Amino acid sequence: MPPSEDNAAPATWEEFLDAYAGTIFRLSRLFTGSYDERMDLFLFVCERLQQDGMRRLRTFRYRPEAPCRFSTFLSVVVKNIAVDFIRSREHRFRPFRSVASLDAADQLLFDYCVRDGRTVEESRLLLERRHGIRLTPDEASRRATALEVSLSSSQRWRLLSRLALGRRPLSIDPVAEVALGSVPSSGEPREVPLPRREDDPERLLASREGDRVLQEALEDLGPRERLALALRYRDALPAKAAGQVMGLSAGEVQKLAAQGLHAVRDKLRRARITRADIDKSALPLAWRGTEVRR
Amino acid sequence: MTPRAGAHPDEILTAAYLDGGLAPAARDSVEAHLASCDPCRAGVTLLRSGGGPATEDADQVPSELLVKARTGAAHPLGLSSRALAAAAAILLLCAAGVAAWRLAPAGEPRESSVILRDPAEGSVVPPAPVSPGSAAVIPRVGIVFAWTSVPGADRYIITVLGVSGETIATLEAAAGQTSARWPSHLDPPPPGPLIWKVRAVSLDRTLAESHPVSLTVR
Repeated sequence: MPPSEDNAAPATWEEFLDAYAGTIFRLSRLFTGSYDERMDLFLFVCERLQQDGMRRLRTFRYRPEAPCRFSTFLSVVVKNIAVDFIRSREHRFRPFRSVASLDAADQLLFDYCVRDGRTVEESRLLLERRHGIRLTPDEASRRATALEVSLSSSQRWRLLSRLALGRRPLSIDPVAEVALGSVPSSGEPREVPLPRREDDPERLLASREGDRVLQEALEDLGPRERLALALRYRDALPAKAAGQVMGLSAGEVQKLAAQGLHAVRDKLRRARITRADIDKSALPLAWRGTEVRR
Repeated sequence: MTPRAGAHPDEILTAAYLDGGLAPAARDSVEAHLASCDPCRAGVTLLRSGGGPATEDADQVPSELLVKARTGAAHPLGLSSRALAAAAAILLLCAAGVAAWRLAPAGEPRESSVILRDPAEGSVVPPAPVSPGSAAVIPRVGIVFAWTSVPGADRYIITVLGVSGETIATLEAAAGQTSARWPSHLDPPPPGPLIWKVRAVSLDRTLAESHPVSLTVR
């Protein structure tokens, strides 16, 4: 129940800032790439939080089934406001600093593939036709994978927040490769190929038995195993970082991911699905089976 | 309240997930969503990765920025140097932030901020230490602290002090718990006199604090 206007009277914006300006400024660094941008975000967040008599902050209340600290709640709110900030500055998107040091082919791949969410194949053709740069499909895929894996958590979040704006989603899907045995699951699965969905994956999906089985196998996993797989293989996070997200140790998250992979492989084997039967482009769709738009 | 697999968890639910406060069923539903929603997962990953202590100079809010935030960024400024000096002073207060309210006297919840206000504010009965009671003599190993619950508290913080006021241990208990065992990863307290007290916390603010209890460990 939100507080009534009556007991809202003593709360002032100044008092809130006294206590939490530092927290907001610290959080602002997570979502931005430069100090200037961080200062802009700080003001953007403050403006939003102050709106309508601090309406957004007043949605906080203690819920016994979901106990949380106010500061944690605030960090989630700041994150969500930062999504709006990123989108409001869509036209000002600048490539990440690290991109400037890449060679020309990688810079263009970054723009087409990572920034704009095009498929690797589409990007490869654009490189060839517009810029006269020829890459083999394997080379293009390898380079695109390396680019995505090199993104920091913050860069990845910014790209996703931007792409989620009615654009084609970023899709990294190494799980098919690992599940089908072309990548050893025992080793560090960071260098994984990066298949991308085609323009109409739903049609492909419907037409391929293998894709259906794979999607079902992923959906049949428990949520913990699915999340461990997504963090380890889709996001290419090291086990320690994946564990941090789930509140688990590196070993525990590794175990969950291994169980998940084992179950997926097992299902595919029992359905007599071989690697050639799976269209890799269906995998991102399988992952996004339950995704909804904001 | 648990979200359907497709719905984004709301901000409180997400925060509870980050704080590790969810029961397994609710946690599973949040994790099922995170597994399928790239933007939510990237956000949680980022928040979990970036907590870090707020101690660096680089984390200080620049004073001119704070002035803008105070006055509303959209408004023209036209500030006097005096206003800037005031802002600088406020900045220092901010830096002290959390520490300042933690030092507030026991039993005196901060009145100021309604969004941080507990429903029971104004009539909060401090938690009463139950055991070990005053002047108890107890063995070093396996100490269990118990107290009475405080409505509206979302956690309790137990502080164990030496006789000269130094903190020997700080224990935390979730809402609904009214006892806490000495954690096994900490060494048992040294033999001799000790003091303990318990603080009821809600929404990151101290609601009320018990009176200190002295005891002896043998």
